[in-house]
Amino acid sequence: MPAAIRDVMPAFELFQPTSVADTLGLLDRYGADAWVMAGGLDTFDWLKDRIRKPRYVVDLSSVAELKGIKEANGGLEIGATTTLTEVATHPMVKERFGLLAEAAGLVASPQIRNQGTLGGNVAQDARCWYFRAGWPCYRAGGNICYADTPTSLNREHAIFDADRCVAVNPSDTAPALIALDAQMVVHSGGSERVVPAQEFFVGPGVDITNLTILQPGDLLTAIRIPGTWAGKTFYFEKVRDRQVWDFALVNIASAIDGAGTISDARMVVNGVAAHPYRLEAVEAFLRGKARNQQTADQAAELAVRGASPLRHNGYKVPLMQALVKRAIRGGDEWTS
Amino acid sequence: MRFRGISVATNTPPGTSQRAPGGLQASVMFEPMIDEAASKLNLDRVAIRKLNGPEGQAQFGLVPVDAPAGRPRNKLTSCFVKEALDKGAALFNWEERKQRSGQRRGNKVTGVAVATGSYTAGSIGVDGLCVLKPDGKLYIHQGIGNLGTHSVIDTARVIAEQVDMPWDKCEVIWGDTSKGVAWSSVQAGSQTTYAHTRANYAAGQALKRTLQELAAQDLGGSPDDYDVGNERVFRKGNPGRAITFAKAAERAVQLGGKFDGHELPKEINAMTRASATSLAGLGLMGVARDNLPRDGSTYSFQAAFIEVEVDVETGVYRIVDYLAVADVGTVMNPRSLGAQIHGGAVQGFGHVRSQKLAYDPHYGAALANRLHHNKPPTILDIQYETPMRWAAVELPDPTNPIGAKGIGEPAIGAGAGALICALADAVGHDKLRRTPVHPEQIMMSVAAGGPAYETLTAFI
Repeated sequence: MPAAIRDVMPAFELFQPTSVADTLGLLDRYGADAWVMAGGLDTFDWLKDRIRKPRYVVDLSSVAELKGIKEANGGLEIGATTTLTEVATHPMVKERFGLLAEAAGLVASPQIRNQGTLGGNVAQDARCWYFRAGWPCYRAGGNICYADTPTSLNREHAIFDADRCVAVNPSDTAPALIALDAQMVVHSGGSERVVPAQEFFVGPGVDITNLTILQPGDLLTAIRIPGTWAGKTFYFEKVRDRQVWDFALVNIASAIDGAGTISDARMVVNGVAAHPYRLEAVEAFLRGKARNQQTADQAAELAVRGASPLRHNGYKVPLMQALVKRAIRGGDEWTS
Repeated sequence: MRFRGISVATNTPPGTSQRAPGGLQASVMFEPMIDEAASKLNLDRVAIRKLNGPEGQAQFGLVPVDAPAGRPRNKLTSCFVKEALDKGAALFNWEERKQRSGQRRGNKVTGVAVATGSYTAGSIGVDGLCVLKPDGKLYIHQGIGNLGTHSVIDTARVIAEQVDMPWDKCEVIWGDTSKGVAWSSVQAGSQTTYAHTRANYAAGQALKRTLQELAAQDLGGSPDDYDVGNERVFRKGNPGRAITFAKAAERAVQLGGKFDGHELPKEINAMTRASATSLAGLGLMGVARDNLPRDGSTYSFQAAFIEVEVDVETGVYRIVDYLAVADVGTVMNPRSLGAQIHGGAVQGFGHVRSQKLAYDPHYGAALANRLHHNKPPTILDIQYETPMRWAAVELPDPTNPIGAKGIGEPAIGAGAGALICALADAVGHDKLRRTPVHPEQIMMSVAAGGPAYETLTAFI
């Protein structure tokens, strides 16, 4: 256990670059000793708890190139440090990709959305309270999971794809981005990679200490949303204990194409696995089906196959089913 | 096991009980039981509370060791909870609203409920202190601070009223013991309003008496021949024979002794004595300890009415309407009272909805280390179609000179009790057996037709 010193950050050297090129230079120079900070909402908890003690902090807030929303290739390109408030209120996002606007608008609280960024929201670390308190668990490089024992408090933990670690991805915007077939633009040194959003997030079986593919030296610069799903039928719902400033117990983001009969669909749930959990079997099942109660019921059965709840989170199975049904029927118009 | 504890001063405040310890828990536990009893007895929920509620100087509790002969138990100084229930039922339109209990629209089920809350609301024995200075202003020295309730200002007005002093000629001194402040109650237990209206009433009476004595000395006659008003102390029946307050203050400094604080009443508390000594010679002093009689204990009461909407598919719920009626005696500051009634209710809602301290049961380590883990209610959790409402019974407590009782904590149990009863009303009394009521408790219990969660010994 770390010393219980709180609220006084360890000393670090602060860099405030003004261009992506300079930022990449710093990340290249300092490698694993550098900490990338966007809005600071994830960063400052780690630093104030003195659980992470980076030698160099690279603050992205002065890099103008990383901010803003613009049209690109029939879709949108959103800079990584665009605030969640801007994403939630931008006319183009609202009009064409309302799913993302809604998801961004349900993150945390107004104050946090004003400061927090889209890139930070998708790249934030796990919120497992054992991990965040600095316990030496698998995710922290140790060899035990404190959240997966007969006595653990794991109401907010994973029901799918757990592999030693049972933490979940806490992001609200991540499932919306996957549902919109978004692409993540990652720079490293002089090179650029464009990665489908779904592949940006990884579970503990792939990398137990990271929720994303980002490695030292990598910088998420932008998120591209293709025009594919613009103006389709969207559904986003977030279930949480409080109606503000709370992570999702479970959230769902869906995009459905087709009025009476579903021609294509995307359905992604978060808060149930270490990565946003895309329901590909449900999506395949929905193609060609009518949007009705029967389809919704069958999809809900399919959605939770393979779920493996812990002691306190069994409710996530029926909750997820309820959300899948609502996504298909589009809210409360008809009821089970 | 052998262990040794060492106290270490840190920059973090120590943990202690939140507001309304005991009162909150009592409302949350007993109010749903009363509703279950009402259901089994086929009684209206307001009616069963009126049947069982205390009234007037009701006796309660155990026999105190110092009880006067012939009175076996402690008693209340006043209780108008039945009047609060009546007023609330009328304002909330209870008879009509209760028909909505359990009504379902799609996934949403309505719950309607009433609950009461009570808490201690007044102590005695603290001091009031003021100085009338030659600049013609009255300086009221308050030992209490401002927790945002304005009681530090409101209770000072009692002195001004005793001597008919215009409020804009009064200065309230507070927040710094070096300025000389009176011994006060702690600002907890909702006791400030009651305690300091009494203390300042006593100080106001002392100030008035000193003015009368000074006038009698300079203008002849006895002190009772004089009255105060218009910033003067004047002869009854001959208002022209008078001394202005400013002159009286000047004269008090010349006379010294009991007039300017060089001689002090024996019964005042030690801290007040030190403060009054530091202020001696600055003007005409009014200082006194609250030795007014009180037989019994002072409690405030509240009746709360609520409507909630529960989404039984996800267990998410929201409050649609809330009204609370307070039995707090005389209303001193309506705006501040409303804020206390509503603010306390919101805190109560938070305890029912989300607030918790979680510890790992094996390691004993605290896990809810940040506010977003503890989950207190926020203002955005309180978005209703209709704004929260409040009213007061406005019947005075007979043991307080202005009739006032405390407020703050009584509001918390009322809000929490009303919310838990309304959730039970919507989904069934057999389904909720612990707080906070997380969405999944409702969702799972509704699906299972009974409690679908384990009994816990700690928050999860």
